[in-house]
Amino acid sequence: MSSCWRQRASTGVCATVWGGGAAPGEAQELGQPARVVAVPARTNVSAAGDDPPLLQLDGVSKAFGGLQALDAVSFCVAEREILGIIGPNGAGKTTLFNVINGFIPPDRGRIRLRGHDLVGLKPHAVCRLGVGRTFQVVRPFPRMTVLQNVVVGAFAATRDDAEAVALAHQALARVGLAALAQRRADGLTNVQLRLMELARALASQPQLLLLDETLAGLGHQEMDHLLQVISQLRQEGITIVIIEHTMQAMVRLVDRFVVLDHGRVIATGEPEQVVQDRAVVEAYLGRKWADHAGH
Amino acid sequence: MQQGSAWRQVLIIFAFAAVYLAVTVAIRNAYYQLIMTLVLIWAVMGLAWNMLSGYGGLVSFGHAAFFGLGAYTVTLALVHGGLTPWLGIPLGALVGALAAVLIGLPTFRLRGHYFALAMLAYPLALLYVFEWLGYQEVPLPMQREHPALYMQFHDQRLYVLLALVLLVAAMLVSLRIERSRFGLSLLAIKQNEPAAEAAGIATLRWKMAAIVLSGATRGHRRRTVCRGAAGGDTADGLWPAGLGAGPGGYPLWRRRGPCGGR
Repeated sequence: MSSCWRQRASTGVCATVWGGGAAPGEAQELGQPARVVAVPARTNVSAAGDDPPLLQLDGVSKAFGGLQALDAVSFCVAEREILGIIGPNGAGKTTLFNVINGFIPPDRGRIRLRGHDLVGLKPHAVCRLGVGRTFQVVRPFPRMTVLQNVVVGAFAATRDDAEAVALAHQALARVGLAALAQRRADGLTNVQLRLMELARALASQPQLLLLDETLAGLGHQEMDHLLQVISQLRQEGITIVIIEHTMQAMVRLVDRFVVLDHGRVIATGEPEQVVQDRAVVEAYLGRKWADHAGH
Repeated sequence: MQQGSAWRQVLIIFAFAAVYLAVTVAIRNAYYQLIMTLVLIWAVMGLAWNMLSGYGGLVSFGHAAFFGLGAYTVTLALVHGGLTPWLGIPLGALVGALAAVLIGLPTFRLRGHYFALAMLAYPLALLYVFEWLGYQEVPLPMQREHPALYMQFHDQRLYVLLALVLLVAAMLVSLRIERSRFGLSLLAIKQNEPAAEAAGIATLRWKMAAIVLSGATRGHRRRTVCRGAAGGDTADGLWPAGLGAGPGGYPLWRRRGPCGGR
C-alpha cells in the first residue's frame, strides 16, 4: 500500500481496503449497459506497493484578491492511479490544475512530482518533466492539421523532428484518431477535438495526465469510448488526475476521489465512501438534503 | 517536414531569381534599375517581418528600428572606420540581432495590441536619438580607388544582383523555418499560446529566436541600394527614412503574414 492509500480522508473516514471493480449494480443505475468499460481490477494499482507518490501537494493555497480559490490543499497521487477531482462549480478544480502545471504560481505550499519541485516552473518545463494536460474548453491550433497539432506536443519528447512525427502518429492511434491525421483541426467535432487534445498531451510522453472535464457534454457512446481510452492509458502506466463535475461517469473509472469545495479538500476516498460522505452531499445538494439522506 | 514539395519550392525560388535577373540585364533606364533594387529590398524586409509577425503572430510596428540600426551600422562603419560594406553588412546583421535581444526581452512581456504599440516606440525613439547625434543624413565618401572593394559599382545592375542574392537567401531561410520545428512552434504560439506553452513549447525562447532572426535579416540587408543611379557621393537620404517611414508600409490590417498565414 502506498502512502497515498493510507491517507485519511479529511472527514475522518479511514480509507478501507480495495474491493474488486465497480459494483455491478452501479452501472445499471446509470442506465448504461453493464459491460461498458473494462476497468482494471483495483488490486493491480495497489501492487505499486510502497512507492513514493508520483505527485504530492502540501498546503497549496491561492487567492485571487479576496477569493480564496485554493485553501491549503494537500493530497497525493500514487503511480498508475486514476484520481478524480470533483466539486461544485467554482470549487477551485481548474485553478488546481493551473497551479500544478505552472500557469498560476501558488501563494503558498509545495507541489512535487517524484521529488522535483514544480512551484516556480514555467508550464513548458512542467510538461517536459512529464505532466500533460487538457483544457476544460478545448484549445486546439485551429489552422493546423490534426497531425501538426499533435506533433507540437511531441516536440517535448524528442529533439528529432522525424521521431516527433512518429510519436504523433502513435498518439493519434492511441486515441483512435489516426484516420483524421491530415484533416484541419477547425473541421473537427467537439469530441474529436477533445481526443486530439488528449493525443497532443500524450505525444509528450507524460507520466501524469491532467484531464479537465474531458467527459463533459459527451453522449453515451462518446463517453464510453473516452472512458475506454483513459482506462487503457492507465494500463500502459500513465497516472491520471481527472476533473469532473458529476460523479456518475467517474464512479466507474476512478480509484479515489478528492472532493473540493470553496478551495478546500472536504473529502478524500474511494467512490463508495465519498458518495455517502455527509460533507460531500451537503456541498452538492445543501444541508436539507444531507439531513434527508439520513446522515 | 514534408520533404517532397520542398524541392519544388526551392526550384520556384531560383526560377524567379533567374527571370528577375534576366529582366534586370535587359533594362537600361537607371530609374527602373533603382526600382528593381528597391523592390527586392522591401521584399526582404517583408520576409523579415513575416518571421516574427506572420509565423509567430506577434504584430510588430517596430521593425524599422532594426532596419535603421543595420543601415546606420553599415554607413557609420564605412564613414568613421573605413570598414567596407562587405564586412559592414554582416556587422549590421549582428547589430540587428543584438538590438532584437534587447528589445525582445522586455517587450515580450506584452501581448497583442500592447506588444504592437510598444514595438512602435523603438524606431520613433531611435529616430530622435540619431537626429540628436547629428546623423539625419550621412554622406557616403566615394571611393575612387578599388570601388568594388567598397561595394560601389558603376553598373547599377550589380546592386540588383546583390539584393537578389539577399532575397533568395531570406526566402530559403523562411522556407526552412516553415518546415521545421521552429516554424511549427511559432504557428502554434500564434494560434493558442497557453496551449503551446502547456504542450511543452518554450514560448519565450521561440519568440526570442524569431525576433533575433528577424532583426538580423532586417539589419543585414540595407546598403545595396547605397549610391543609387547617381553613382555620386551624395548624402544618402534613405537611411534615416528607414527609421521613420517604416511603419507606414506594413499591411497593418492583416492578421496573417504575407507568407506565413495559415
